[in-house]
Formats: sequence, structure tokens, C-alpha cells
Amino acid sequence: MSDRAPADPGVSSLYAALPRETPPDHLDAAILAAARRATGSRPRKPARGLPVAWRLPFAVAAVVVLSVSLVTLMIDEGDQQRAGPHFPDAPEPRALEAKPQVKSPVVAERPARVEQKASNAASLGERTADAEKPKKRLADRADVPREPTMAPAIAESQKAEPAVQPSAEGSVGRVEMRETAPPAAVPMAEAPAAADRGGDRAAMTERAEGAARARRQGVTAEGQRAAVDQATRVKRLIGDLSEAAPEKWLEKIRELRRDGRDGDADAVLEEFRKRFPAYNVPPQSEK
Amino acid sequence: MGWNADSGDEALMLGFCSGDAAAFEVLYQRHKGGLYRYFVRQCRDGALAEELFQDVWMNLIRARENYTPSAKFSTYLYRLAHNRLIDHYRRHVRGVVVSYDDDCEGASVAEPVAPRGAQPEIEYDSRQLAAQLLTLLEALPEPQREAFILQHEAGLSVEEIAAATGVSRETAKSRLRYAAAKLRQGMGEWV
Repeated sequence: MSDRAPADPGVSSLYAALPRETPPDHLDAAILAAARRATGSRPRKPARGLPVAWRLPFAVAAVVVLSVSLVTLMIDEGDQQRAGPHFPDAPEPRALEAKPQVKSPVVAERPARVEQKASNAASLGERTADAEKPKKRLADRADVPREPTMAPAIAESQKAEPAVQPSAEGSVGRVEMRETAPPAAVPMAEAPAAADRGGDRAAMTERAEGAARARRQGVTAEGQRAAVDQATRVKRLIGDLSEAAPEKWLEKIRELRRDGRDGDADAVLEEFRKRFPAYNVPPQSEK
Repeated sequence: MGWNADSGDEALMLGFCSGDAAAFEVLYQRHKGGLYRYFVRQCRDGALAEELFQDVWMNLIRARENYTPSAKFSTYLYRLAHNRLIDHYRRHVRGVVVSYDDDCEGASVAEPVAPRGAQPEIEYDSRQLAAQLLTLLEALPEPQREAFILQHEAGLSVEEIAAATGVSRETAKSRLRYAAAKLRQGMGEWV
């Protein structure tokens, strides 16, 4: 028994010559759109966003705005650093020239941006810390050993011959200046000699101290700013994770802890507990 | 996954079931013409044909979770189309349902339209022949017309026509035979 239909070749050829109607385009579009909706995919469209003609002008404008902002910010920061407080007995930097420099090999390897960070933090702390008794602060500092610690021999030699050497080599010189002779290691009795190292040194010392105090007190503008920054970061993290599975949250928390961002990790963990109260948090995500 | 003209209907449908809209697009492009003409020839009403055509595809999209490739996809698709057409007839044109229920062998042969080509001196162009064929097709009983269209538009075999229309193989074969005979008779010397 043949499965083929009893087709008449003549009729079939005539039928094949009939017009081949097709559904209208709007019907095609509606059906295909329904299929895409059902699968959750989007129609293939040409690249969206700015028209090509606008991309270059926008890119140039963005670069100009960013550059101007950055330069303005740098000028402002430079002004603030120059306007920083000085010890009344701070000597001219010239007095320190031609002095041999003693430095710790470990300290010498530190990158220049460590100094830059500390300087910025000090600048912020300085703005907010009240202008109280700089000498008392120095005395406080002298009581507390601070990092980086120096070998006693080096410290001795620095007492006799202050290591600061105004460097023409930019930031590297500044790193050496700060790291090789931290003011905390200088006893109070020798503070005037240490202060002789120059106005910049004193200003930096003042800023670092202000930042340290601000950190201890936890109520300064820097602290507030840091808290706001952290809140923003955490909010962004939570936003990214909002649709994610619990495992993804925990993975992110572990990743934050690995990066040393315990504060962020704690905040994300707190939000995680709110969202998944019944979920058992593994210990490595806790702390 | 990249779908192309060589991809099988069933694979495409399974691809769509697993969330690939591109597979549906290929499937749709492949079958839209035949299905649309199925409704146009059956309904003889463009707007109604469009509505039913859209309904069938929407039903296919909605019911994709339940699709299992137990038969040819085209058989499944035209089964949906057939059911939708019957449903429409039941709601709006009761008389036609009776026609579907009748045994086709008992249906009267359509009165053939006298071909104007009976006079050999008159040349018929293809458009006139097409119009003649369409007239004859419209005059066929619904089940025979459906069987003929399924054979010529969807390329279904007798078995598949039987499966799509829910009748026995013999009934489907009989409908096809009657349809072909009437059309041949109506077209006279032109076939």
C-alpha cells in the first residue's frame, strides 16, 4: 500500500502555478514578537545607542570635561597643601641640604603612591582636625612606636644627621624623606631638631597626625566620607546581586574578604541575612 | 546555535522549546506560506484567514512546553490548524461541520465550471487557468479541499493527512481521490 497520495500530475502542476500568497508583514512581526517574548529574548536590532555621527563629539567632550576637572582638582589640592600649617620653629629646607641620607632598604622599596595616599589622607584630616596643640601631639606620638620601625642604629644616626634631603627626583625623594625619618620615632626632646627638616616635613607630619587622630575619633569628615563611599560601594554590590542566587551572594562575600574588604563584606552579609533568613551561611563567609 | 535551511523542523521546534527564538524564526519562515494559504483557500476570507493563521502560531507558542516530536512537525502544525478551523466552524458556520462529518464518498461531485477553454481557438493564460482552478477548488466539499491543500501546500502524505485531520488513512485517501477527480473533470482539456 503506497503512502503517497493519489495526486494528479496535471492538477498538481496547475495548482503549483497558483499565486503564492503570504501573510502580511504585520502578522509576521506580531507572531515573531510573541515568540521572542515567550523565550525572553529580544529582537535583533542594529547597534543601539548614540548615532555614529554623535559618538566622536561626545567622546571628545567627555575627555575635555574629565581633563578640566582633574586639573582643577589638582590645583585645588596643591593650594591646600601649600596653605597647610607650619611649626613656628620650622627651618628652611636649605639647612638640610648636603646631609647624608640614611634609609632602610625595606623602606626604600615602597612605592611612591604610599606617600601620595598618606599625604591626601593627611590633608583631609588636617582640614577637619581642630587646631590644638601640635606639640602635645608630638609628645603623644613619641610615646607610641609606629610603623615603619627603624633599627636603633639608624634612628641614632638620624638624630645626629637628619636624613631629609630635598630631592630633585620627585616622588621617590619624598618617599625617602618621610619613610626614613618618621617623626614618631623622634623623641620629644629632639623635636626641634627634627622640625628643622623643613616646612614640608612639618606639614606632612601634621597632616598624618591629623588623619590618625581622625581615624581614632571616627567622627571626622574623612570618616564620614569613607562611610559614604562604603555605603555607595555596598549599595552597588547589593544592586548587582539583587537577582542573584544565594550562592552568588556568598561567593561575592568570600571574594570581598579575600580582597581585605571586610567592611563591605559585613554589610553585604547583613543584607544577605535580611533577604535569605533561612539560608545557612558557611563560616568562611562569616569572617 | 546556528539554525539554517538544513535544520529539521523537529530540531527547530525543540530548540524553540528550550528558549531559542531564532529556531522559531526559521521554522516560521519555512511554514508560514503553506499554512497561510491553507486558511486562505479554506476560508475564502482574507481577514478570517489571518486571524486563524495567527491563532495557530500563538497556540503553538503557548503549547511549546507540551511539544514532543512524536510525529512530523508539519503534521502537528496542520493538526493545530485543522482543529482551529473546525473550532471556528463550530462556532460560526454550523453547516460546514455537517459537511466535515459526512462521508466524502457520499458528497456530490461539484458541478464543474465549464472551462472557457472549451473553444480551442481561445488562448488561456496562466492567470485564467489559476482562476478556474481556484473556482473549482472552492466548489469542493470542505474535507476534500482540505485534503487536497494539505497534500499540495504542506506536502503531507496520506498517513499524515489522516493524522492531521483525525480520520482513517482510507478516508483521507478517498478524499484526495475525489478531490483530484473533480478538479481534473473541471479543468477538462487543460490537464
